[in-house]
Amino acid sequence: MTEAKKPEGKSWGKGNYPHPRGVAFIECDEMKCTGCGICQMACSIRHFGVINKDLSRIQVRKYLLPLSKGIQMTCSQCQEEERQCQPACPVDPPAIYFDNDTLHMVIDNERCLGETCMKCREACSSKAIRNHPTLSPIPFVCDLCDTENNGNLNPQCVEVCPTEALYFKTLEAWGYPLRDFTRKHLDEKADLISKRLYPLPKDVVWQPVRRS
Amino acid sequence: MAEISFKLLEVDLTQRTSRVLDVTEDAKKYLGARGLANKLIWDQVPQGTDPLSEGNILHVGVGPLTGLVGSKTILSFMSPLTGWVGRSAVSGDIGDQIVRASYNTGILIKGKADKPVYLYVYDDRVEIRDASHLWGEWKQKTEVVLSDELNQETGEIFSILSIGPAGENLVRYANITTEFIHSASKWGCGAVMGSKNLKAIAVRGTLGAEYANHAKVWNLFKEYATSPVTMSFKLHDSRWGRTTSIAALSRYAAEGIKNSHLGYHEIAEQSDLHAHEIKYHIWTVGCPGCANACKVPFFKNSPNGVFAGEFRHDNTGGLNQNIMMGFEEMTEISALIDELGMDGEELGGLVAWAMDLYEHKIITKDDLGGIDLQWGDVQATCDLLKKIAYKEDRAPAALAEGFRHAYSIFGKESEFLAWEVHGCASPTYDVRNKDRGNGLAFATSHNGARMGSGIGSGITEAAPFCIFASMPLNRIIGSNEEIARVYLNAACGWDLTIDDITDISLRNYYFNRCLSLREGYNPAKDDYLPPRAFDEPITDKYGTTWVWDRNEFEEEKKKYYVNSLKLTETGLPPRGELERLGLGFVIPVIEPMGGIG
Repeated sequence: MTEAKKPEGKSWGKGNYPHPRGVAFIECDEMKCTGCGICQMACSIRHFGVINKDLSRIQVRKYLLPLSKGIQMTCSQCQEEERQCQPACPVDPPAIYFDNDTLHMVIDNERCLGETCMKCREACSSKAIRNHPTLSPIPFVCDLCDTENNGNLNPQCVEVCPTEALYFKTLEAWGYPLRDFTRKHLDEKADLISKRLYPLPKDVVWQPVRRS
Repeated sequence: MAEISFKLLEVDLTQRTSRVLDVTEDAKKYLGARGLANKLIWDQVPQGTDPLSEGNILHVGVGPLTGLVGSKTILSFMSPLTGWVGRSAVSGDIGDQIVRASYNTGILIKGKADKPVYLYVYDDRVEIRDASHLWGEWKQKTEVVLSDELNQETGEIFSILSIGPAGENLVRYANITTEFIHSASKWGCGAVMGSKNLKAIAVRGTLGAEYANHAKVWNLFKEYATSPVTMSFKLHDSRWGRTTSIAALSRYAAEGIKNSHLGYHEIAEQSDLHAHEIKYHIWTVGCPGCANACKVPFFKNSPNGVFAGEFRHDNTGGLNQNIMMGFEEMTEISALIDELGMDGEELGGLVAWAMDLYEHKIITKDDLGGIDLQWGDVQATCDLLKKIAYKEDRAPAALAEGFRHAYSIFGKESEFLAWEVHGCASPTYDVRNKDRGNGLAFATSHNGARMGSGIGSGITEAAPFCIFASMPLNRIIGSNEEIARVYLNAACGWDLTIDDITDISLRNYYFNRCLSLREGYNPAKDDYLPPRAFDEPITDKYGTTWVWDRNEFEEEKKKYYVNSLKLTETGLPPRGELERLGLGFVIPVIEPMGGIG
């Protein structure tokens, strides 16, 4: 009996893909997300050295639609023409900005006004800028795990996602790099996914009444 | 490495107070969840307490591994179904939220509220809030309404444990669910919650779990989450959930068919998980800290109505072909059971028994409130389920109290048709099947006829971790004891050896058994199988026949006590072991009752 050939590489295959070239971001494939929150654990350990999902840049929530559904969301690293957070920053030059050298969003902690402001978060339609009232009042945003801001992009959430529901990718190869369509709030995503359960949208209460 | 501390949130519904207790010393001895709960029940629930009285407690237990190896929450209480100690496990986000709120051994609920309330826990904010607008509502509405309310108030999504009408009406096998499809179904925890006028528990934690060494924990975790071994388990779990066992066991004469009269019937072919998956599987959802997510909810929009839920061995396996139905019918029945909030496994035995009694004219249409309860009739079954939940009419009201009470209503002649062990329905893992069944485990259980009563649960339900999430870890790390040792040492800053883990496991098992012994459990009298297990053989689809011989059973039981459960030949914990494991304090209480070996 021949033995099945074992694949090379230590991770699930995704780890062997080449990193994207140019401006890249983390794309969420919501229908694959199981809501396990392992991406959040990877994010918080990378940036804060602790496992705490509420200190994660990527967000995962379980919604009752009314069936339980995990949905994830993180910063889309928007193109300049569509970016909402940077123009909303009251500081000049903006404390939150896209670094054209390292190709990701950066928050300058020394100049950021902190939790009393959060205009960037208000402006962002996906609310991708996060903070924690007690553990980190200073906001944080996805930097593609380039914590030193030297262009070394290696998003840990993508690496560990067990369902391959996160893609580290560029849209430039396709020539249409806008991500307006991916930049949705978790609540909005939940509303849209709930349409799959028509006639059970999540705000309509349901009881199974068997019709004879 | 500094050791972590352990905190327990104690809520007194009578006094409407709460406080945080340091239980670090107890956690070192027993771990959290079911381990700590033994101590809490022993200390705080007096012997002979009515499980549905104010004196019972409900421990919503978590431990250091909740959220790391799956997300298990173990509810512990004295069972209103058996009168012995009960425990019920539930997955979902709730345990993870409790740990993240910093209560890493869980929430202890005492007393009884004077009116319907729900418990609100948002980190260190703990409130007992009015739930009069939720009381009487079915499960889905309860959870959706409360979730939306709290979302509007805080902007956060809370995890919610709630009961349905069956819990409110003290049906003795009412359950507690979260996210609608995760159920803590065993031994009537929902009735205990209902007896306390507690409709729901809503928790959101943002403070994060305390670990001795976060980096070490993460390295362990990352190895698991990115391992090809984990992927190989996920390929199965994330597609089929736990439906494969139902189909297989019903062909191997290990799942009850027609009130456990048959070993095989063509109805088993209608438990077609492949057809079910292609037709109704909507998406896969998992628990925090689990990479091989195994929840596969279904959604069905049909001329009969709209039905949603999830098939699990425990909520579907024992019904289904036991009341002569297939998966198509079960989508409708399972959805209703989830809404009403009852244990599907207990109902599997009870509804099948009721159909049998009706066929044998031991109960009548009048007893059933006008229901013509024929085998395989979906509408009649749904009508009966609702009557059970609301305790309407003679027969359904009797069924709501479980087998032992129902015997006194239906009479002696009803007993031979019953299929129960310890007063618990036993429709799954048919006790006659010595290959795939659970005859010895069920018969010797001090909890009732369910899985999760052996020594292994002393560690898996105290750490606690999910045995499905740990399946890849069994290949990556090793045995459950070794998984516990490696993870606990990293998470807690301990230096436990495998012998320490074995001792904790044994200590928790003995302690749990002693609690039932204290409440009158007597192995010599109670560890039996139903008469039909000896008198009614079953033959599986492939021609193998199973039945017990009485002498053979007694011999095998003795061996099982000694070899598998580390007890004496009479099923009692040995005195020397109790003393060695620091449980000597139970001896003066148990010994006069003949409970020490």
